[in-house]
Amino acid sequence: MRSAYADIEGSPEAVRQRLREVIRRVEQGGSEVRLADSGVPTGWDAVDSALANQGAGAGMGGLARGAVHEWLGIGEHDTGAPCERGRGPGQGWILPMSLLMHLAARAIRTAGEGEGGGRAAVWIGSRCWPSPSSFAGVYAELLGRSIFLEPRDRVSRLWAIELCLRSGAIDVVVADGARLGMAESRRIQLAAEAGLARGGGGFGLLARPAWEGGAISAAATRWIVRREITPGSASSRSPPRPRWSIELSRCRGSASQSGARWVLEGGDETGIVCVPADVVDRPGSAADGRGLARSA
Amino acid sequence: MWSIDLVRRRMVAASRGRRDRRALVLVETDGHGQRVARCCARARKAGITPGMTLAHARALMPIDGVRLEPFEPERDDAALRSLARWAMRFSPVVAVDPPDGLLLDITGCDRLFGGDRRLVARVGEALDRLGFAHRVAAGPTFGVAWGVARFGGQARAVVADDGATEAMRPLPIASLRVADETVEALDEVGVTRVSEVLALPRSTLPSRFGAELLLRIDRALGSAIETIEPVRLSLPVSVERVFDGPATQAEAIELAAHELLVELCEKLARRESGARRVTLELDRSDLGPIALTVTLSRASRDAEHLWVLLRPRLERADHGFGVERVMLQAWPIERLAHEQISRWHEGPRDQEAELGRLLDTLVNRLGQRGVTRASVVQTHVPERACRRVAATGAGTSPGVRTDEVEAPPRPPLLLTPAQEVKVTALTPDGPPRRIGWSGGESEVTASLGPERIAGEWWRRREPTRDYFAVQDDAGRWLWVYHELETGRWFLHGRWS
Repeated sequence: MRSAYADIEGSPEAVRQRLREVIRRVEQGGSEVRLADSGVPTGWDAVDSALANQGAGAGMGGLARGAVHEWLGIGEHDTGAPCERGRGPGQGWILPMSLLMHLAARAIRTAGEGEGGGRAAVWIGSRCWPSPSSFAGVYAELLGRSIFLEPRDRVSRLWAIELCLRSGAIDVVVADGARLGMAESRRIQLAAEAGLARGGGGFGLLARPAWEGGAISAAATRWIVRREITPGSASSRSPPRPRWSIELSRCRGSASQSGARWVLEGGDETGIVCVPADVVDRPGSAADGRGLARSA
Repeated sequence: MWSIDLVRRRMVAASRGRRDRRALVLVETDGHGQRVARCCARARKAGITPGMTLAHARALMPIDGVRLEPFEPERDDAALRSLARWAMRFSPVVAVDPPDGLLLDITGCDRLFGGDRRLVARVGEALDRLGFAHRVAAGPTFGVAWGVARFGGQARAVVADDGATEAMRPLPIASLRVADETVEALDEVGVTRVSEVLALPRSTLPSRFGAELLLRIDRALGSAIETIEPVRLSLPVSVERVFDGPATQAEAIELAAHELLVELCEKLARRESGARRVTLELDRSDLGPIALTVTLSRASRDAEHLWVLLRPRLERADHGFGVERVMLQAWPIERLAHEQISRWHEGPRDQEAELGRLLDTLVNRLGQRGVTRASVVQTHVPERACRRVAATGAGTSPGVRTDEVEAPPRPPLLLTPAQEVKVTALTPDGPPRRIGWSGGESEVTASLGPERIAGEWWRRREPTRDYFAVQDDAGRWLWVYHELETGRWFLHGRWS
């Protein structure tokens, strides 16, 4: 248990917060309390520090384990471009695949230290399967631990999401989360909590279509992903550097921070998504004027 | 001939009965190159012998008259083992004698077949029907039978109980099952027949030719005892329950099945084994029986887990006019050690077991094709760069290769098939300036490339492609390619 408590430090408020979390887990009958593992750091400093200041909904040091996080995909109104089609005309969306891969890899890496064994990442729904050849470099381990599921219909998709989240052997579940109602979302969130209590990750990432922003759900956080234009013309040596802005539109347990936005860039030398260099030092000017990435 | 026969059987099965009339040569690869490991009678007639280099063999026979196949000793051994189990119909004690022999202890069994002569004939006929070239001999000791079967004049021979010495006398030294060096050493001093060894003074043999020779002689002639290690037949574990008349209530059938499952798991626990496949059979009155099968990724005797897998099948099963008998069978089974019960279920071992259980449940509902892992294939052609393999084991399963994934970066979203687009470029080989598709058009603001990927030469008419990664004015990063031969452009992927 030494390692479990070793990392309690920081301001008295933070310590109190963490201890409260420990007590909650013990009361829920979890077999083991793993403080170090309770959050998945996103690796984006500004985002992590913003999440650390949040209420219990977001957990500590990144996105909470034992919770579901919704990612609203990038809307696509140009019907000719390749994307997932919606029901209405001109309604399309595309999954923020690079961000999901980045978060899944971090979930695997922060959970698997020193444990080895049968930890795995599950991708549910062929729509959210990244192309295996894109798992280069840092993602090679993730590919080795990835299991791809293809449910036939919506019912078995929900069944698979719930089963995998509930399992103690799965670190991260990335799933196609289109057309989820409140009741289903609640079930999935409960399954994630049960999964963490059983020693798994219980960490769910749901990709939802861009137009489902109004749908109510029980997820811990909801993020809106938009496409940004990479400035300047690319030199022929560097890999493609797509950019996105992510917005924390909902965060359970606190309403204050919602609406914060950060700009991210993909495709640096190691393939990881990061905060672009030209954005880091710029003073914030986003929607509510406080959320844009700052050096933390 | 065993390996040759096996390969021929596989070939016939693969070509649905059509026979390949070519001579067959099995090739093995060692440090010095390729060698002939086994060859068929026709190849032998042409002068090809095992151990010869492949180049030499090719020179002896016309190239289109020979079919080359890899030599797979492990596969042949496994087949020999199953042939040994098959041979248990003649005797309960059967041992394999690698690479290509079987030893049967027929003491007492000959009566059942009407004498050992009849028994030998029956074994020979049965092997004929299976299509294996063979030689069968029966004798008072394993040594005599072995020697006479391999080096005797007839394909089927029986040596009388007191005829061991007479039968062995004319045979070559190799029939004594001694090492090749001993045969050579004796050959150097001009001893080539068993009768000549027997004439040598017995006390000098061990010091000059090793202790093995004497032991083999004694065993063959019956003055030393030889034991064999028989193969064991593992039988399926099964339990069954017969109802008093047809049962129509689903609850009753379910309850019976559950009780049987618990019983089955207890039986498995007593044998320290676990099931890889469990079959539930329902005998229905006036209708045929139905079998519900659950296949597991790892051996298990966890009744709760098996019930989770079986129950949905049972619920959907059609009971017809009532079920008369429920039978539960575990086959194949595997050794599964007992486990200590502990309060704290943590650690990697538990997690692997848990992942195995999870995969079973998933496969049971989504099917084998719905639960996969991705394995990387070494090719430059992006759409063939990966293969889906069934996810069975835990962790990184052996069939999955991930180490070869390397740069250059590929988009996470690949379109299959690639979508044809209209592209305007300034120069014929240059990067695109405008990309148009059915719904609209967009301006290219940045582009990377080209990266040339040539078609694989062994696939004919595969065009060469020039790939560009471009950003359009809406901020989309697209992966487009230009087919050099046709001049057409395709959209192959997106970074998203």
